Amino acid sequence: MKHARNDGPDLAFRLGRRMVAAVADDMSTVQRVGVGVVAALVAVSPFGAWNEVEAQADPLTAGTPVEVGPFEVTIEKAATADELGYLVPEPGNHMLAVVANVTNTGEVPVNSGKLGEAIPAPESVGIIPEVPLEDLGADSDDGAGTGTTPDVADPSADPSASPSPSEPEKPELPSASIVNIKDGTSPIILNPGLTYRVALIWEQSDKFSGDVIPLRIMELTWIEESAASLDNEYWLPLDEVAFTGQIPIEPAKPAADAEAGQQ
Amino acid sequence: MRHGRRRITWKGTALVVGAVTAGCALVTYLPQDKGVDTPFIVEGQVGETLDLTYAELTVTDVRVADTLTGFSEAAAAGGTFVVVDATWRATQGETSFLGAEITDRQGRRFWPTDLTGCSTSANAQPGYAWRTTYCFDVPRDALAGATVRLARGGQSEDHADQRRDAVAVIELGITPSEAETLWEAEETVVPEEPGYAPASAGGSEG
Amino acid sequence: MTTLVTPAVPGQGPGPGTGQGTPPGVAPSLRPGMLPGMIPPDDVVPRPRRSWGRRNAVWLVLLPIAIVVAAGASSFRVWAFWWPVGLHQEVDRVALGEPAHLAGEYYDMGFDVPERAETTVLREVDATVTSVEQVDALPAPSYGDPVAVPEGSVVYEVQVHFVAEPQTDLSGCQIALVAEDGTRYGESTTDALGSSNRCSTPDAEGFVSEQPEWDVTSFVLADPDAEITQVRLAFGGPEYVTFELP
Repeated sequence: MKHARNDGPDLAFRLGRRMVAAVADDMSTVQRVGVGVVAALVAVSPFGAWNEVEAQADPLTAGTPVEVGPFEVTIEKAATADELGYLVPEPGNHMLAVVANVTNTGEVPVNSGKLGEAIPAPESVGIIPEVPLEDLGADSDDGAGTGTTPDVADPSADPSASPSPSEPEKPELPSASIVNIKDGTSPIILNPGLTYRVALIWEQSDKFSGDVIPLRIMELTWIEESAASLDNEYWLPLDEVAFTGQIPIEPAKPAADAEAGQQ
Repeated sequence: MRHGRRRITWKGTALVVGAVTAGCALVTYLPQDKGVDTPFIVEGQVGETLDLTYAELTVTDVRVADTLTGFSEAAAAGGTFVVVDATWRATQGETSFLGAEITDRQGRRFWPTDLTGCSTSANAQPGYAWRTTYCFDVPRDALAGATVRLARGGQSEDHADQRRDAVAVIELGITPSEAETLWEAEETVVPEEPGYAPASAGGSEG
Repeated sequence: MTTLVTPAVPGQGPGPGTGQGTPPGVAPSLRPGMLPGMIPPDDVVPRPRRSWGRRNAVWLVLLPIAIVVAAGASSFRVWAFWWPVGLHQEVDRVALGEPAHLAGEYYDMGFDVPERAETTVLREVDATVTSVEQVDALPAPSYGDPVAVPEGSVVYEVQVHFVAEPQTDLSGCQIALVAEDGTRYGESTTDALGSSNRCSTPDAEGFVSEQPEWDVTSFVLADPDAEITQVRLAFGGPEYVTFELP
């Protein structure tokens, strides 16, 4: 096995060099330059070389509609409440709601989860992180079994595998619970041409005492034909902020709205 | 080893590049997907029983409601709910009927809600008729001339699950003037849970 | 091979090499250090060209093999997705009243018998369909409200006698009536009364057999004009047994 491991890359390298030599030896200089340019262009393609230059995130203010993916979103306000319908916070926390009017301006229905992907939880305002689904100890055991030897237990080697002891990364913030304010239900499907007044709700620590929250709306891009999967024609959230702004927290509680619809 | 090379000529290069380009052009511009993807559309009216080979389908009633009330919750429409009562009778074996979608005159598509006892899909076997109620939240300008598309294949964005399979497209029969009346009316509908349909509903008379 | 002039002896020095454009793989005189397609130096006498078929003989032989290998490699969906789901392999076929042997492997999750958890188990059941009769009404179910026979449907009562080792897993049991036109009535794992444990007695606690022999009755809805010709018994498939009705 040791031999195979050491020989493998070397052999592949020699074979590769031989193949390149076999082709390149027979070319004129102009041809070599041409092939080199084409190879370089192909090589940078997967890294977004042809994407449009990223624009600066536009300002986001309450009351001004913005276009993101299939949605026209107007952020109305942010508000805090002790509990919102079936959403009850842990002791020491409260619920933070961002109220928005959302219209699907496209031709195809969109799952409300897509809206949650477009409007991630505001950062550094004490949003309670997601509880990990699995026990982290069991998780890192599995990771060791797949490839790394048990001796290599250095947490800095693979920060994602063992976050608990060193806390190297920011914990994942949950996506919002989305509630239709009109009737207190969770709209799963946002049909075209309809405007819903929704609340995006997160659980927030009582330690937060500011009166504004920083809100971001991420860019959604239309995937006509997916290169990576068999799914086609859907909106993909990009890791790119389209709009960002400070939304003031109003003292009024949207709980009254939400519960009015439920009764 | 350096002697007697085989020359890579411009002519040869052009030949290979040309062949690849021609192949790409053929794949891109030939309408090859048409024959592969198109479902077998069976068109009909409300009350008509349609034969989809894997099932017989009857849309028995179309209603409009502002509010749906169910066992534990009420749903208010963003626009108005179009409530479609349908009866499935499987003809081959146990079948899941996953596709339910309304299409309006502009080509916009609307998917059903699962709130308040409304169904987004159905499952039935041969030997009985199974009644299902679908509820679609649609805007005002979608009512007139809308059609409902029901099938065993799901209604994903590109209709991938309905390729080369029978699909029913049923006119809801809402005229522009009726649409106005339906929009103005304030109706509350209590959708029935799915269940065995009376035999008359599955008959060809509707 | 009479046209082959060059003796393929290594180290014999330069000789007449392969002709221009000879494809790789059929050049028996390729010398060490030469890549396929290269023209050896000091070529003096070009060899007469062989026919196209001769030059490409190796590839022509390999082509059908490659097609078979490619088709096999891309057929994984057949065994990975299609074969395990549904009834595809009839392992026994008997007449009404005769015992059929149903044997098939399944992956046990260990819900009822923990020591079988996450193992592949061979399930062997001897089953006899003793009667298939049309009845007028459905009996009261073990749970829930009475079920009326829907309008436009008829009910068949199917009685099956089972012989199996105790602790045999009976979940996913399907008792289907097959009509002459191929329609499969009642192939769901849930019967007309809402029982999802169709191969167990109504008082059974779990999904494994408790007795060495037992009888079950299952009710199936069918079309009034259906002509039932077979009963199929399976546990999710792909194996199943067929009982032919007279």
